[in-house]
Amino acid sequence: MIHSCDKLKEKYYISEIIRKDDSIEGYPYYYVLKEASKAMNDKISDIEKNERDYEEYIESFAHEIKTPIAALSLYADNMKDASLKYEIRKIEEYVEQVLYYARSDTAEKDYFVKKIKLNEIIHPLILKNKDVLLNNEIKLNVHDLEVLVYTDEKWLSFMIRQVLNNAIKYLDKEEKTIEIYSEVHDNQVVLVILDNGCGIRASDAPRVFDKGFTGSNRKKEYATGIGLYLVKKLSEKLDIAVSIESKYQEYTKVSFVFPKSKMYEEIQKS
Amino acid sequence: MKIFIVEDEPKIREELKILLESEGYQVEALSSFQNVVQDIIKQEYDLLLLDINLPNENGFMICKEIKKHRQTPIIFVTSRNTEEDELNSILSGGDDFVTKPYNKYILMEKIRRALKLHDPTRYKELVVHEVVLDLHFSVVKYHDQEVELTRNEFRILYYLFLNAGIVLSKEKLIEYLWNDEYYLDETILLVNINRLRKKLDDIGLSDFVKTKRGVGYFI
Repeated sequence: MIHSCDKLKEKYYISEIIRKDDSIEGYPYYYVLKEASKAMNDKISDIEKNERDYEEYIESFAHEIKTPIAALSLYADNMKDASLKYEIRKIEEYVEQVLYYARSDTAEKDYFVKKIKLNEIIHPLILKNKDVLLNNEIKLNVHDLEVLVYTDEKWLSFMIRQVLNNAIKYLDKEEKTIEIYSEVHDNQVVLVILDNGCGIRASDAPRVFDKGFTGSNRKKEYATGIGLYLVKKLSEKLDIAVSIESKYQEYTKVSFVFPKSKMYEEIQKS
Repeated sequence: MKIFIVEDEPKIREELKILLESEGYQVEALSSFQNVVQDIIKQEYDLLLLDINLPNENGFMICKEIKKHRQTPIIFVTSRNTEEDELNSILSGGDDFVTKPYNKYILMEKIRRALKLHDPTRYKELVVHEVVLDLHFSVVKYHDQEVELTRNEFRILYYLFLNAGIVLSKEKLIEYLWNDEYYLDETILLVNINRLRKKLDDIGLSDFVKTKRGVGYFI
């Protein structure tokens, strides 16, 4: 029995596999173990069901709220009200984070890997931020993105969006620049997003991916500490390595590293 | 160009109408959703914006029915950006797919694409003051001389031709040209305008692109 217990991954299933013992000494133990495990299993399935319900609720909340946000956003466009538009953009980003936070634990069920060109993901994201980029006179240098990767489009797009939002948010120089490009190496493709913003203090660097970490030097406004945490979490599920290199007050460089599989050459050809 | 909107949320319908009208489109919208398919078929339009979630019917079925009658482009609108919806929109014959909340620039880009307005092959050339802009070969012709333009010079001149007689500010030009996977800033714009002027000069068109001091450019 000790042996079978050690072999079990989910040890509370032990009562499912132990032999029934009818002896006077053994039966009470058998009975108690059986009942205790059953109660435990019931509890776990209750919690799992609650969690699923909760996730479904978050999904439907996020979808429902997009209709009024869409109405407001169109209204702001028509009124040419830039500050209203700016606030709506924040709401949109928060809602998107909530949605992906809820999905992040069950990511495996949801993703759909296909081949995509990096520029097909990057350009719509840039276009979405046209207002902010033009109003702040941000110089964009976007090049070498005619590269195919094999991944889930929506998830990757969400991750890049978090990084791009950060890049825009922390620009502080007179001349603001963001450079987006990719490099193809022997066994990997690297997507780089480089900004000349305020950078990250060396002492903060190890914690940027921590949940709830908003930095000790950065302006706290509109920072949730969730964006990069989700980027890290999702990237692990998608087998993309994300790394950040920064020099305080000079630049931040975020790299997404896609492994090149044997299929890669085939993909590039097709 | 006329766009027909099928969207059951009145506020969104109203704001979409204002937005699209300000972009120069004619707009009609459906306000009762009892016989959506029949009501749409009765209409004349160049593009249909169709919400997937309507009170009584499903946008995909509507799209299938409409496509049996005519091939005018249909762009779906949804708040659920799932693979399933995307797949269904393709299967039911939709031309494109926009997710709420509407991003103005993405929406306009998709509409232009569906209407093939980007496609200069729709027209062969534009003529202003005897100057011919050949849209197929990116060439400017004046009397018997001609000069080839780079992509950016062509886009600047094309926009000026479309707005002949109207003064376009630098901001307006940048906003228009900042698109299509190309993000220019003021310096790049000025460099391109100078090059363009020089090329026009070479074929005897000095001062064709005029500057209105402190306001902008016009032809």
